[in-house]
Amino acid sequence: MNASVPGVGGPSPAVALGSRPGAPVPGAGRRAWVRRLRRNPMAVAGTAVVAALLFLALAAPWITPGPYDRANFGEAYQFPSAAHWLGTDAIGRDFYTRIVYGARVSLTVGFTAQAIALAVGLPLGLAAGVLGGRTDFLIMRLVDTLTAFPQLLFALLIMVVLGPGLGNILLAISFHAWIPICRLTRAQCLREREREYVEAARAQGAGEVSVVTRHVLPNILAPIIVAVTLGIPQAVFTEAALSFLGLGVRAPTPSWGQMVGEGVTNIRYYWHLALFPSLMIAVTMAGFTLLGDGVRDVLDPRALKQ
Amino acid sequence: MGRYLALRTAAILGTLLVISLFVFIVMHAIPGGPFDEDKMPLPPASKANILRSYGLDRPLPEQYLRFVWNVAHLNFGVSYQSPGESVVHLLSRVWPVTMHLGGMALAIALAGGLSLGVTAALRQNTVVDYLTTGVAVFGLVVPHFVLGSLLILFFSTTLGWLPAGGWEAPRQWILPTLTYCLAPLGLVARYTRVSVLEVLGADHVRTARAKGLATRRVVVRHVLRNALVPLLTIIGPLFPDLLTGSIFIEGIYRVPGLGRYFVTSVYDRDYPMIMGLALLAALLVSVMYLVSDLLYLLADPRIRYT
Amino acid sequence: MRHHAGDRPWSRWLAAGLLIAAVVFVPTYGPSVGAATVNSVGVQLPPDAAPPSKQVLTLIGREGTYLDWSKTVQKGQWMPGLMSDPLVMQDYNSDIKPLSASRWSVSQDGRTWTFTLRPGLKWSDGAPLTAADFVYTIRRIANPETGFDVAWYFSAIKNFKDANEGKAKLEDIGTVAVNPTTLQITTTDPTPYLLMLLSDLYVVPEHIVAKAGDPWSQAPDTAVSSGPFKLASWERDKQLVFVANPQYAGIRKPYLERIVYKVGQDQSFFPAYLANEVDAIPWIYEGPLGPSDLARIQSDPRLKREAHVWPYFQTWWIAFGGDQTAFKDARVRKAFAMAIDRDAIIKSVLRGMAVPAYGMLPPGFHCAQPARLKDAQAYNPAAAKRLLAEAGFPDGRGFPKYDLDLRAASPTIQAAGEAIQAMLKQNLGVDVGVQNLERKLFMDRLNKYDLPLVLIPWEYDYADASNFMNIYKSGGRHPWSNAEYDKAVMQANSTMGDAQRCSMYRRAEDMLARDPAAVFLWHPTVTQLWKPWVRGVINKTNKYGFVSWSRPSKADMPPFIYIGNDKP
Repeated sequence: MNASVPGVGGPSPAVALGSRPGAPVPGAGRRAWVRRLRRNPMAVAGTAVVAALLFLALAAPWITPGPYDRANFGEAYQFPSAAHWLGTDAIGRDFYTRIVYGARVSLTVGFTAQAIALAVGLPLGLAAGVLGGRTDFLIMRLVDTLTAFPQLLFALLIMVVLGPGLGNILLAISFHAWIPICRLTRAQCLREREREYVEAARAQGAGEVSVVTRHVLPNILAPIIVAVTLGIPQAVFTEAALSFLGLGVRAPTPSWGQMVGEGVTNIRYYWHLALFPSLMIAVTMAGFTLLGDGVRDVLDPRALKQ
Repeated sequence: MGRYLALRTAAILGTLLVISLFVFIVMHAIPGGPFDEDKMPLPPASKANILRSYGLDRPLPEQYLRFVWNVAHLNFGVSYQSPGESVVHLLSRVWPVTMHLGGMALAIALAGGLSLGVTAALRQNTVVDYLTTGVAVFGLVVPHFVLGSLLILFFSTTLGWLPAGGWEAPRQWILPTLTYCLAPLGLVARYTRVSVLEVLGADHVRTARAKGLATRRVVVRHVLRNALVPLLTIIGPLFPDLLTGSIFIEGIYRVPGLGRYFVTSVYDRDYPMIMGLALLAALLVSVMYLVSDLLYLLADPRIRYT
Repeated sequence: MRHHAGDRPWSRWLAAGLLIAAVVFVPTYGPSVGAATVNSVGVQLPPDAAPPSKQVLTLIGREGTYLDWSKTVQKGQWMPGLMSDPLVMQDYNSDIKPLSASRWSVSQDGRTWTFTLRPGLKWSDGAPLTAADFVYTIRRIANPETGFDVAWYFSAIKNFKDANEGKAKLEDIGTVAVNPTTLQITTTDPTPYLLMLLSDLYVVPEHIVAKAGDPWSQAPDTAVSSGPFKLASWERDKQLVFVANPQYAGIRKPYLERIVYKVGQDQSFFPAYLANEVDAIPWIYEGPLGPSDLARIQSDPRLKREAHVWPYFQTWWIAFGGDQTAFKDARVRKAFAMAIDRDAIIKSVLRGMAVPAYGMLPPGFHCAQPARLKDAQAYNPAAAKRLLAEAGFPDGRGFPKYDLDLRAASPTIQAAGEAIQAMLKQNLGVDVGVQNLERKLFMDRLNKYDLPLVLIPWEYDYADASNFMNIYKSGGRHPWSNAEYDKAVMQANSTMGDAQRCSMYRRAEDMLARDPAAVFLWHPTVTQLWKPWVRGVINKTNKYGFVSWSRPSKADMPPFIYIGNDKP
């Protein structure tokens, strides 16, 4: 139904996947995982890509020749050249500059949407998993209902009611983005609660809150970090899809999604207008995906045993 | 088990009711009605008549209750985009096309993704692994609307091998299916790889391998069966996603399917279609989750529902 | 613009070669040239036409609701002219020619028009087509129950507007069937452009509509035709097929046996054309062929020969918000008008597919005389800056932040909006955002005068200046209002005699351009693609010097088109 790939959401009842013997290894040490990160070339590549994107977004004013909305009507639709590395667009704006600044919108959308998702999904997931009972039931019904909500239809309705704009795009994306985080947190909680070390902590008289914050939370963070990392490119993708439908951020703010939307119509001649923004979205997707996979490998305690 | 099913069914009905109410409210909050025209507004007398003939002059609560009453009698109203055609008729016309396209894409994604994933896992960190991962990531990172335009440019308008659009002959199915299946294929491949790796590292599998069982037999008997369980988690959401269609693919390839109606119904303020689509998609997602939960039950006897 | 082949030396040799080949080979095939081929409706095909079995024109376009343009135009299925013969038609010169009516006369006071229908006209089910059908059609359009979306179009007819608003009876509308072949139409005021309006009056069959109701035009069983074609099938979301109407007794008997109209969205048109799946993209808006496609066409000699370009009667302008905005000050409006370089937009964004607009009326249109307004909004950034400073916003300081809103714009128009944004910023220091709004959202807010700055087009409905000039009357589409303007336009609307009318319209247009009420930007040029085997009247140069397929969405042309025998 939409261009974004489905999330990592699981089925509604908590499912312990089993076959995960042994307690986590708490003090494996920071150096150990840095070493393992370095041994994983894909994770290194992902980290490098994400770092490069962050650099583009933050350093944009210093690594571009001028403002992103400076038009030069005499130089419209130029192909890549020494003067304009990535060519120029319909009104002669330097396309390299716009691509670099475009990282800001995409990363803002990606990080903010996932931050909101985390801020909503984690507490709700913890509440459901730890408190259980009626709270769990209510939260899970909410999750079920929203899951069943067709995402693109909802995003369109929101964008048409509230009008386009960055804030509303974030709202439309975050509305669904927290659900997988919530499900995951709850499932992890349920599993950890039954572990020996938790039982032991309880037996030593630790309160429920202390059990959660000191024992459960640190041990379930790894999969959540992975889910968040993998959620970022999906948000970037959804922004692109909404922009393609004409519901993107306000011009002249450059957004890769909007550039792809305009660029695709130009694919048959001014190929650079289609290629570079598509490439940036693809690189972003690939970078975060590889990073997510890498983080999973690195943080997953079982990997130590291999 | 029976009680569980009954409870879940009731929950699904509740979900549908909540979603219908929510969509109804949001949809009527959108400025501009179905019969507000482009060039000049209709004279009030004309507009009043039209609204009356569609029952849109009544108070909103009454309209909603009527809708629920009619739906209970399987009457979803008449589409405004295709006047004279009931929503049920319209859906029964376009949905099979989408299911056909989505079904083909899903089948290819599953078959291709599983084999790619297993291959990559068995040859972990070799060139084969990187290549298959590369294919998988490509499918995930290129937006449908870019891939679709690119494939047409290459295979239809440049090489002239395949038609640029339409949905009458099998030759016309190839490009849309290819465009559609790559993203889920990449997803399935990545998850398969991870879960196969996980299982390969598990004690009983290592024991089996140590005992000298042939790798192929180990893979089929132990690995695939165990790896399939977590895979269900991600395959589940693919179903409703692929079976509700994509406006991007249908628009580019002139596929007379369901996907575009998610967008045009909102743009045209086609209230009956919006409600029909929301309920259809919600029902699909809910049923899919129910089925995948039941499959878990069958696949992994350790899971119990209470 | 069309004779580009001539400037290449090889093309002359090619032409010479073809000529020799023709001289050598024609006598050899002499006998078959002489044998005239007649198609299924008795029309003799031209000598270079493909055989009747191959007389199929395949097009691609958008899908609408009804094929019945007296029910809806905005949402109507394109090409109503295939299935309906109005009283009069516009030919390829845009001149009015008889169609269902063989002749007509106007009374001394210019208010009563009497039409004589051709004898023997009938519907495709064999029922006679009479003056009563036309009376019925007009009443149905006026009937508020019908909810016809451009009813204002016919409000010149006496009591039409009142009936449409429910204030008068349908029977009181100024239209009478004197006898089966005589129709009388009375207007409130003398209406010199009535014939233009009537060229869009697509007559409907009373005997069918009374039975089948509104959906009559959607199914082949009930879609009874008075035109040269009839509906053979309509598969929603896929295609419509029309076949030559054997019962047709009018004057537009077609060469074509069949017209296949594939349904698609804009972005699929050009690929379908390139893949030889359709014979033409005859539409007149910029959606299907963007700047990149035009560049592609220009760079490909074959496509260049298949492209047909001519100016179109449409005007794009920027309209301003009302008194609650900074645009209540005429100096601000003028500053905006002078800060926008229309030539640069046309050259860069639009790739030359437009001509600059100096006023409301497009060049070549009724009463148009654009040259006199060339200086009214001439590009002058320095003067614009001064004006804005005088209005209290030196260098744009303190100027409110507005959005320039676009109506469901194509990427091309979106880019034009961004060009305007860049010019306002670079020349005036004013920051505007560019926002593409969904269509209904845009219209809802526009009609409430709720948008401070919009980029919007108007395209002609009928070739008369009133069609454009009525837009800016008080209470119309934009909040700008000027009593003198209203007076000039109303007076011109009901004056018989073109010279006098035009001078009134021009006075009004001067006010629009000089006040200014709008920033006039450009008139688009149409680019259409037709495969070389699409032939007929469209290959003739019309009196404006263009080879055009005009009014494509209404289908005035297809009855005069045939498929050449060079179609592979």
